[in-house]
Amino acid sequence: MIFNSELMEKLACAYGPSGNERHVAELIMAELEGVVDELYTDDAGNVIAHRKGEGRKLMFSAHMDTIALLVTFIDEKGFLRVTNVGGISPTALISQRMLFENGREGILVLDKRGEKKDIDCAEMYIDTGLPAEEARRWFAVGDLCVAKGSYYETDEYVICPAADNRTGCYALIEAAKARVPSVFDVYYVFSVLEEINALGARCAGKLLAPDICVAVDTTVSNDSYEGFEISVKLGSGVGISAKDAGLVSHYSVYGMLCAAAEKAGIRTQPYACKLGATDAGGVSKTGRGVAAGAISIPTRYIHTPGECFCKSDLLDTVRLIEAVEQYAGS
Amino acid sequence: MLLKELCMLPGLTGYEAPVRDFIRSRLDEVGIACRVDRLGNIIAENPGPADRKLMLTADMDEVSMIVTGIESSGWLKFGITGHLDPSVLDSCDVLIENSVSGVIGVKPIHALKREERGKPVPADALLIDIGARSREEAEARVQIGAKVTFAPRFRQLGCLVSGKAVDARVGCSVLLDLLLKKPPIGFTAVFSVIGRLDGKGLKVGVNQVQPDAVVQIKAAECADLDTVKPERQAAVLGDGPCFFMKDGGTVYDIALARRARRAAESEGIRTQLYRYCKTENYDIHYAMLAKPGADWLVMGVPCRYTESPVAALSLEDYRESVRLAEMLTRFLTKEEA
Repeated sequence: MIFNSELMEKLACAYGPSGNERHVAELIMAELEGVVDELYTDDAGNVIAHRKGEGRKLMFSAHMDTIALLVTFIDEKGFLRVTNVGGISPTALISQRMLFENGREGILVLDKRGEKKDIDCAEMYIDTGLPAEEARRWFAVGDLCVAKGSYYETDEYVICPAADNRTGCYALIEAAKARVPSVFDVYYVFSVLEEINALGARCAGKLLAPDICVAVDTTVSNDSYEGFEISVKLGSGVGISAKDAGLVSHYSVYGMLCAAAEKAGIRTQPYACKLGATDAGGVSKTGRGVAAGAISIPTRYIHTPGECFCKSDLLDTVRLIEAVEQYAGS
Repeated sequence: MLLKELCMLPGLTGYEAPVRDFIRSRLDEVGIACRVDRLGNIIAENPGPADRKLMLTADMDEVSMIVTGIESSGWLKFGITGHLDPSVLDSCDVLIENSVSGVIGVKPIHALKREERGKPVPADALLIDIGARSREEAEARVQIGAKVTFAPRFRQLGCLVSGKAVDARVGCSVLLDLLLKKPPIGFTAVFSVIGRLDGKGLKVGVNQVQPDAVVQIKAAECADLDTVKPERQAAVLGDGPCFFMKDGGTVYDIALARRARRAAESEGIRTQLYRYCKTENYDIHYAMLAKPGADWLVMGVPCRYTESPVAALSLEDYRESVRLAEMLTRFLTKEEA
């Protein structure tokens, strides 16, 4: 299996904040045209790709959205004031380039008049390089912007924006294209608003009422100096979540994931941690309840413009999705 | 405008009956069919044609306190339902079970400690004084579990009206005024209960109605004082009703709000975008899950001093809000699903 750098770059650099994911949705719809039996967006904006099958309903979920900033005010100097959309880390974004839907950019700056140790959104502003009247022409209260970054890769690693969770989108797209014979009726859901309590996936879960849901997302690792307590490192395989901040994985799903990986000879890293949540936690609570679990691509520097993951881990994730489709847990 | 009558009634979270009964009587008088569901929501039908199932909704409940204990000194301990800044409560007039008057005060011992001077009073240091000299005297007049609201008052201050629950009831008042006008487009009106606990009543309402589009009407807290920097004011009194962009639980459909604003502008209705959010309020997040994919617009009437006994709004904004609510019924029937 060869790493599809072109696809990963397109996904990583696409503009898609929580609340305005349609450009990413269009990109994904174009990738899956003619690949699956049914391809549509639901009322919430999720892209749903259906590979019809005879067995139980299996839903994979990867979110399209990234954290973002929302413009709340344009001041007399033409600077933009912002608030957060999702769990942004202000310190990670200070001095970063912010990208808007209309293609314009600005630089996020710390307002030193309010300097203190813990920065919050009220102490930041965006300088778009425009005087006030021009700024009011091109920007408005309600605009969303994301951190701009560029795609960079080495033989084994990738540094790019939005690995959380465009790597998950990559995995679902590549697995869908592989079309391995499956014992399930498979739904690939590319969800909206995951960064805001998994709202999109919960809507999709309610509509589709799957029997099983597996979220495909990123997880933190312990092999940098970020200081996370988790038994996962880059390059050692797909993370399989026993528990995260949002979900204790259903024992049958966890078992199925481990068994499928073993059968197909895929390297995995089981983990349990207090950090991070995925679409699975939200979907598990929908309708009459859904057996849910999550697999994760180990990623450093999540929620910064330069997230880092190992290509082999992402390819292992694609293989694991295919193995689950083929073998379930047997 | 029935805002004054609505505000003077007690309507605590979970005990909204007086407000509910008032609204039902007004609806009965004009022959609007309504029923009450198991939680206490009023579900009323405004007759008329509609291409989509529309729902307009507003919460009925206000800042609610409940007596949790009676001290040996005769002071009452109390708890608060929902989110409320305790520093607003110091020195407030309150009314217990709509009959016993009291004042919220701070026990003097706490005020004397040097390190506590200038700090906000913690909620558990506040007590209600009903002028009882002992526990026995207090118990003769008030029981544990007694319900407490701010003392009812409603006044005109220049262009504003101010009083208890003005912010809590403005949504109901706008919706009721709209229904009484018998607007042409058909929609379901839900006057919901338990709004202050993350919209539990609203969620149940949405479960039953299963609308294609929802407009929630509430107050929009504004801090438009000169001492507050413009970027932190959130909304400006007098600039018209607000559309919210997000709450603590979700980002709303800003593109839809912008289209609604343009439609409002073409009819000469002023609106603004609400430029702040309280990250602890999950508001409509749960209700949104009850009907996935429905269009949501949340509109707020700008209010100062929310969740205090003197919440205030501008009558001009109020009138614009009723006009906006009616316009939105027409706007949303035309919007594609």
